Amino acid sequence: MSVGAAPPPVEPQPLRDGDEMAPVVTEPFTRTDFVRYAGSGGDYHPIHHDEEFARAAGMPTVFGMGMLHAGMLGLALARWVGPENIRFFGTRFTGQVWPGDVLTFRARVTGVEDGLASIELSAENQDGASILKARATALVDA
Amino acid sequence: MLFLYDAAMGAESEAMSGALDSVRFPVERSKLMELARTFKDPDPLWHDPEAAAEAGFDSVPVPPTATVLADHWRERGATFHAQAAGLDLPRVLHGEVSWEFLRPVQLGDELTAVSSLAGDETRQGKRGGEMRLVTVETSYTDAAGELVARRRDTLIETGPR
Repeated sequence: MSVGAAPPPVEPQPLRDGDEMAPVVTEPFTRTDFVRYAGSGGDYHPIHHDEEFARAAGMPTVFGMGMLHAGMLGLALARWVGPENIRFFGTRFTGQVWPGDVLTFRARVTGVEDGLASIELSAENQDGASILKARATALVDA
Repeated sequence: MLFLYDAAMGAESEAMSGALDSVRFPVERSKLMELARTFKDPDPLWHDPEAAAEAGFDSVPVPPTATVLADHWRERGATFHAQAAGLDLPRVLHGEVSWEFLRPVQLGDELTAVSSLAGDETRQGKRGGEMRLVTVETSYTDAAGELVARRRDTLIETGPR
């Protein structure tokens, strides 16, 4: 996403069962991205920024906070359905994000009932491994 | 070791059953700007009232995960709940998180986040060894006392290596 992109919608959108968000592909994650999220999101778990701590904990290196890529996915969802139309957003972390990883975010409407769309979301890395599975509901123009 | 720690008041008090902490925090411009940039979306509408108005919003909208801003008002940040629940930090993973919104969170909200321990169970891990799963529930109320959102986190402590 970049400046100049269309603004997210204010009003509920006319989404239907099967509609898909245009996939969002991230840039490669860097250690600096993790440190930046520590500062902006308040997560100072050393496993995400301290190489020695991460290795001592049995990890090959530091990895990204789930709330970093969940936040990015949430923002992508907000751009699609409108930030003020989201009623539920829930995610299960299924894999880790390592420095250099590139994620693809996808979202798809799986049903619409009483003006509320059920949405399934996912994040996969460059090898096709699942990083996150999510569900959301959003007000839509039924 | 569970206790109620009110960061805004700087006071500790007797714990209710399962209470973790209560923290009051502002949904403020600078942190929203930082958060959106961290999420690689530098669009000013995520923090600037003029840009948001230009895009048709009555108030500045926020990312759905913006309640993380409460963590800045916790002495030990986002890891506080895991530590308060007695989990061993090097073995802690974030398993799940979800939010239910009763109304959108907006710039200028002054929210109070009240967290409690909602579950604590031990399960057999997929790769052998025991996993401990701790569930934390947090409610967010605004300055008028209205419930704005509920959040639920699952923290996983993997077995000893």
